[in-house]
Amino acid sequence: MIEVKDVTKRYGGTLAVNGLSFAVQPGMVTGFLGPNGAGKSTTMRMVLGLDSPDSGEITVDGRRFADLRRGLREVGALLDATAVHGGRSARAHLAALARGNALRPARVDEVLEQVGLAEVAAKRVGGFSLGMKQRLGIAAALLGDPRVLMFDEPVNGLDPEGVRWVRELFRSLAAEGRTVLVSSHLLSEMAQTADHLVVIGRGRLIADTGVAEFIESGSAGRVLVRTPYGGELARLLIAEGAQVADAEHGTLAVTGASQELIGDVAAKHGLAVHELRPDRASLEEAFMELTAQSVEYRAGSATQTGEH
Amino acid sequence: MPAIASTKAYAQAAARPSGAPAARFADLLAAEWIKFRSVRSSYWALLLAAVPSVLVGILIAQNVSSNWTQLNAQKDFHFEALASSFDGFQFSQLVIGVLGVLVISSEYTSGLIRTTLAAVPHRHAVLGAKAAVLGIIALVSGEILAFVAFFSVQAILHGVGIGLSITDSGALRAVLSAGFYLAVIGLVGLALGALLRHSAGAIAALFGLVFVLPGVISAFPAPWKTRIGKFLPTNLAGQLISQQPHPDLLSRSWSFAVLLAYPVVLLVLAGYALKHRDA
Repeated sequence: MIEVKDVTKRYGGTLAVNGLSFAVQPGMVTGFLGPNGAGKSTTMRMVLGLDSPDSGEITVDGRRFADLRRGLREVGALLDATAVHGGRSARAHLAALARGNALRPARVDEVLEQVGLAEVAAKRVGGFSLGMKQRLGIAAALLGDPRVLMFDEPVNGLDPEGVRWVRELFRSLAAEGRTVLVSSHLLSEMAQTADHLVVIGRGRLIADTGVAEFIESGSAGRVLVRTPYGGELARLLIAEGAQVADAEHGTLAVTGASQELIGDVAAKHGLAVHELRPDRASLEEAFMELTAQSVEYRAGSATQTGEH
Repeated sequence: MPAIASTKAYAQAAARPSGAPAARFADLLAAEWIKFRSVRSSYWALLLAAVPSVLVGILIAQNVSSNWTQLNAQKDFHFEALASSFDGFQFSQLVIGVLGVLVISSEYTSGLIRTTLAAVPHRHAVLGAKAAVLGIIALVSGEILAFVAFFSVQAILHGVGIGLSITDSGALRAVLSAGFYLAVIGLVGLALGALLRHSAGAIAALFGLVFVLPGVISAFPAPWKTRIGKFLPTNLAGQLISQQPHPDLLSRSWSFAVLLAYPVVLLVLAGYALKHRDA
């Protein structure tokens, strides 16, 4: 478990993290969500004791990370996949880390196998694609078999197969009872990976809630329904108290009715429904809206406040 | 890319107790040794340090011995046969110093330092391991180069009858000091790299200390020139490799002590900075 208690961190005149408190529970994947510059990476660095908070406290399983002797055995972290020495082979990179934490040398080949880099283990890391570097970073995080894992934007540069793989990896790590924190600036990515969300903006906590609840609140329950019986279904749903608008291509945009209710109503009246899904676009919009006040940089305008 | 194995292999991990023993310092030394020998630049640096350190001495000795009769006839001619063995060390000291800088600054420029410190949160131990590994590598290679330089240069000087043997008074001291000096400069480079965290800045500071500062201080007015100058690493080393002690410089024992103090003080400062700054 990671516990962040009232943490504030300032870099020069910039308030990176501002009175932030949350806890990351074991046994589930927690998404750490926020726009770029929200303070996600800063928070993760502070968890690892790399940066120290100006005030507040962060503990990992009840202890300060800086007091731990062998970091890899406690917390595995991927902060920046490109933070490797390009002249070193993947195996040598991991071997040095393993040796420093007195881990079995065989562990290096195990994790290389696990992340799919066994065949390029002897190659110099400088020639790796970003996706391969992400896999190497994940291998380093897994090396010490830690109970707490943190990944900062791990899907950047991964191909679709790699994205699917990391999602499965995170879920299986959580299923083993580990604490898994994964950061992203994309809600859609987190919606598919995380069980729980910690949302921050401008260094402040915006939401600490289950993914389902967040989507519920964020999308205001808007559901898209594609059906050849648009007019009839719309009439029935309005009678149930829902609001219905016409979206494109014979699709209804329904608010105020759950997917279950819409499906039941359609079935009861024998109306074929070809598609029934929550409106992800509105979800991203809601997320943007929620964090809009907290976005540090924005296209077309300078910084929002005079803090810089 | 091959398919990915399952995570079942370490499924029991979550239940493993966390009371693992602390990593021993020997593990950190081994880790730093793996890092050092797994990049090509380490070997290039050692080769680059080796060639001039021996070659320059040989060329000068050859030049001196082939013109010995004319040179010796000149009234103000003075030739230090012992110290001349190490004329090439002016170049190799920079290479070893740069090697020391890069041991840590390359981790800062790549960001690898964060991985290193997250893996081993005990920062003083990390710096200590880096210093020990680099110090030993620089000392061993420095001593080897010093012996090779001494024997090859003196072999040439023997041709004109001024060559020294290792058993001659002061010869062994000078050879050991020359190798020791390279280790000192390597560690000074490491400490500067840790303090400045930028390769270019740290290398510039190193050049300033061993090349620029001696020139600047030698331009100072009379008493100050020697009063300050005798504390420069180059002059401290010069005192240790010469046959006769120079009266204007610190005594030999003091020269050795001050030379040793350079890396010690700088590494203590670097350790403090490393511990108290955000990585």
